This record gives sequence, structure tokens and C-alpha cells, in this order.
Amino acid sequence: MTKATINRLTTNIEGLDQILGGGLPEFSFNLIAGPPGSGKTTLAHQLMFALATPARPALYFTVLGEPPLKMLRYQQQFDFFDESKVGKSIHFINLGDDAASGNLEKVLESIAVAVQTHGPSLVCVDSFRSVMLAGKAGGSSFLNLQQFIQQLGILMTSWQATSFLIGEYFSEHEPNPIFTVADGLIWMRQSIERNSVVRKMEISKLRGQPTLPGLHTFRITCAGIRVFAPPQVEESGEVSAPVTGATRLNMGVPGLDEMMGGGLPSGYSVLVAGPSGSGKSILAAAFLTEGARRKETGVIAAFEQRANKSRGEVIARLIDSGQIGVVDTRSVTVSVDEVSQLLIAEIKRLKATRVVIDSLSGFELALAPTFQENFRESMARMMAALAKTGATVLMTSELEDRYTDLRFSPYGTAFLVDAIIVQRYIEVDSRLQRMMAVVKVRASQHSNELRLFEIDADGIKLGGMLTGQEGLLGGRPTRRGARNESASEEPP
Amino acid sequence: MHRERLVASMAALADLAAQGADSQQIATTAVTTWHDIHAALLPVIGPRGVCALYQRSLHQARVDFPWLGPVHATALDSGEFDALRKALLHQPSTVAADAHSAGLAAFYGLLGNLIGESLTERLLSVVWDRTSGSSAVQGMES
Repeated sequence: MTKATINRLTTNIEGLDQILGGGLPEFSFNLIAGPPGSGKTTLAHQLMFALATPARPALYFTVLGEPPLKMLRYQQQFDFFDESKVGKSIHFINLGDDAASGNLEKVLESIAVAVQTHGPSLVCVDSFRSVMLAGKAGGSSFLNLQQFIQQLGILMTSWQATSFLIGEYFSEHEPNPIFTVADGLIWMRQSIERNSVVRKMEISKLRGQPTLPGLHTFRITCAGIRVFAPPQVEESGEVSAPVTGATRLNMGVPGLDEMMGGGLPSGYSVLVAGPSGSGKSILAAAFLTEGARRKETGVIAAFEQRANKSRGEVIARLIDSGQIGVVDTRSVTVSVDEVSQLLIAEIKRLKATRVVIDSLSGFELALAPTFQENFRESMARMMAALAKTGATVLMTSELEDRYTDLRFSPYGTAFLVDAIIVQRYIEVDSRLQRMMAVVKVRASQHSNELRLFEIDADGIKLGGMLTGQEGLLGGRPTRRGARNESASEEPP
Repeated sequence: MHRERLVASMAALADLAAQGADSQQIATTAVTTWHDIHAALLPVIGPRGVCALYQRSLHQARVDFPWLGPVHATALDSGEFDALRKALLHQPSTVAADAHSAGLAAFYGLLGNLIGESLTERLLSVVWDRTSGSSAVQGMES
């Protein structure tokens, strides 16, 4: 005996197949649920245009919901709306009057006739809720709702059509027979927090498939829906995990490589922490420029500085020439998963070895409030996913100048990285000087020096140590011995 | 460029009238066209959608053809073009042809405005297939 094989249809909607657990199960009977404006009709259209063929067309039944004229008017604005498919592989069928009469047998019969005529592979009923409401109000029907749904399910399955009922439902807690009968439940929601609205999708049920649990962010653009699935950290059976630390990367700042024990081990992540203006972005730019000099490619996600210009001419030129890819982070209400996905796509596209995220503080600000709570968790996931690409990652982090304690990141992200470079201001002889130290390089020797540095037109110039001074990390060093002298003056 | 077939269909009707077809013929052709349009659009936009557009088209056409006014007032049932037929029968054939063309153009314009002319053309192509077929037959008869 052989088991039934469930074919999984590839939807071509970015991220959707992933959260569905490998695609849309063929012949499944699904509900797309959510409040008005959540993107249900758009999702259904995008699925239809992706999957319908003249031999196995799609049927789109419109019921009392959105007037079909309007639907056609708005849906054709999307790139996926291929007019040449209308009437050939996609048929729109209006059930308005049957549904309005509340006669569910009639509705079922009209659907059955159309299904028999076209032999569709895909059937959508929009909106299903209005069928239900009409059925309740009509009273003339011999079928009750439960029977109607079951018979519709049987009809679709026997005609081997994958079907989508689209309905305005607000909560999965309202008891509804359709939630029980459906093989798949796709919830689409808009979560509102403070001023930001984020679209989220959840596959709360899909029979026979390991779906990705949780709420997944999605966007609707001219191209249609794009789902941002969490970056995949573990994929069983994948053995190509890149070896980290096999080689060392030059940082692009003379002297810094020696401080790090011979450069930054490849595949490592390094956090450059420091107060505003200490030169973190300049170090990041040096890191990318050095890569470019060695014919390596890089990717930058900048959350702080706006135009290419402000990143310096060299970086701007490298971006123009395509040697450095930019992840567009201008849109607000961004999620960590979205940025991870964009970063990884860009790394793969350019086969990039160096990645810069400048800065974590800006990144957190760019996040929609709803994601800020889980920043650390999502960062951990993103770091793991980035590590899998084998790229070496440099992140900068704004650090409030506090001279009473030594901290490297305000997010507790320090433990996520393999190496830490810290920059600080110190006061020496009534001058504000910059100082840099390598705090950590995992599994490697590194210097413990606190080095002065300057920034000029060519970038960072490391200077010497401030010998004879102590208390540098407190920001106000004193000459060694000075304290002892004053101490000795105190009465015993 | 999308309107080519609409224009051709209107021209064919005008020719028919110019060649001496009577109002009866014009009215029959016009009503057939409307039936075809109705049949083509009914499944897609529903009876109410077609009816609303038809009424609005007559409303626009009656600016130049005031005698279409009563038709507009009675055009309440979807797929019912008897009032139009009767009104056309009372007009000289060339006027009837022009009035029908005006209504048709208005309808096409309205639908085109809403869903774009290329989708309109796609949905109505079956209508032009039939009208060009029928006028060819009528052309042979004359």
C-alpha cells in the first residue's frame, strides 16, 4: 500500500511557502480570515494569478462583499494582475443574487455548475461571511450552515480543487463551524501599537504540514504580498556550515589588526560600541573599504546616516559600482525578520563576505513598537542566521558615555557577538581625546591596550597608549602616582 | 487603440443605416449587442453592476438624444432591453444607429474608467466577435 502523496503547490509569494511549511497542500479547503483591509482579497488574487493555467483555471466567486467592479479596478493595480489570464485561466463569477436570496442550495448549485463547466484547480469564494450571513437571514434554506460548508468541502475535494473561502472574521475564538471543517486557516491581521500598524499573518492550522508557528510580518506593495518569515537557523541535514575563523580579515585600520591578534576571524561578528561621534561609522566604512580593496563584496544596512554622501565618498562610490549592496531601511515599522531576510538575500546575491549594520540603536528605533519588545530574541535569531551565511558582520552600537560603569551595548547584545571593540572619550590636558580598546575576540588572543586614536581625512589613525595614566575608563585619567601622593598627604 | 473594435462595430451599424436598413434592423442589431454585453459581463460584475452601468450610459446618451429619457427611466431590470428597442423603432434608422452608438460608447467609457480599457476590451471581446460576425451576415444579405 502506498500513502497518499500531498502535492505542495508553490505559490511564488515570497516567504509564504516557507511559513506554510513547504507550499500549499493541493486539494485543501482553506479559510483566509481577517478584518477588513487586512489583505485577504489581495492574497487570494495573488495565489490565483500564480497558480491558474488555462487547462486548470481558477474560479473567483464574488458574493455580496466588495463590488466586483471595484475589486477588478483595484486588484489590477498589482504587478501580478495579468490581464491576459482573465477569461482564460481566471474566471470571475458573481453569485450576488443567489446569495442575497439567502438560498444556500442555490448558491451551492451555482458553484457546482461553474465548477463542472471549468474544472478549476483553484476556487475562491469572496466573501464567505456574506454567504453565511445571507444564509442565516434567509431562513428559506433547507440546508443549515454546517451542512452547506460540509457539502461545499465535499464538492471541492471531489473536483480536486484547492479552495479558499475568504471571510471577515475578527477572532478565532468565535465559535464557527468553518474553523473546524477547514483544512487550513490563514489569519491576516493588522496590529496597531502607538502610531504604527504592522501587517501580520498566521497559519493557525494546516492539516498534515509542519507550518511555521507564530505571527509573521508581511507587506503589501505594488508587487503584491511579501511575507517575512523568520530566518531559518537550523536546517537539518545541511552540512555546509561555514568554518569560522579559518582566515582573518583586515579591519582597514592600521594597527587594529595587531590589536585583535591578527585581524578579525572570518565569520565572526564584531560589535563596535562607543558614544556619539566617537568614530564607529568611520571604522565600519574602513572595514568595508578594506574588503573592497581586496575584491571582496559587502552589504550595508544603515539606520543612521541618510544619503550615500554622508557615508563618505569612497563608500558611495563602492555602492554605485555595485561592490557594496545596500539594504533599504528607510521604511518605518520594520521588523528584525524583515531586515534579516533582506540582508541575507543581499549577501547571497553579492556573495558578500563583509556585512555592516550601522547602528543597532538606529535599528531599534526603526522597528515598529510591536517588535521592540522582542528585540533581543529577534537579534539572536538574526545573528545566528547571518552566521550561517559565513559573512563577517560588523555592528555599531551607540553607547551612552557613562564613566561609572563599563557597558558595551544597551541591549545586552554583547553576548551575541564574537568580538567587541569599544571606543570612548577621555579628558587629557583639557582636551577631548578618543580611545579604543579590543575587549573581546572569542577564542583568540588579543591586545589589552587602551590606545588613543585620531580621525583625519584618511580615517582612523591609532596612536599610542597613554602610559603613566590610570583611570582612563572613568573618562578622567590621572597621572599614575598622583593619587598615591595625595593619599599620603591625608592624615593616617 | 483599445477602442478599435468598438469603433468598428459602431461604424458597421452606421453603414447599415446609411445603406438603407430600416429602424427595425437597427433596433434588432442594437438589442442583440446589448444582450451580448449583458451576457459577457453578468457573470463577472453581477446583474446589478451591469444594470447600473447601462442606466448610466443611457443617462449620458440622452443629452444628445433626449427621447432616450423614458428608456433610462424604465431600464430597471437587468437584461431587459425592450424599452430601448421600442424607442429606437420610433426613430429614423440613422438617428437610431447614432443613438445606439452613443449609448455604447458611454458604456464602454464608464467601464473603461473603472477597470481600465484593456480589461474592458478583454471582457467584451466576445461581443465584438459576435457583432462583426452578424454584421458580415447582414452585409451579405443586403
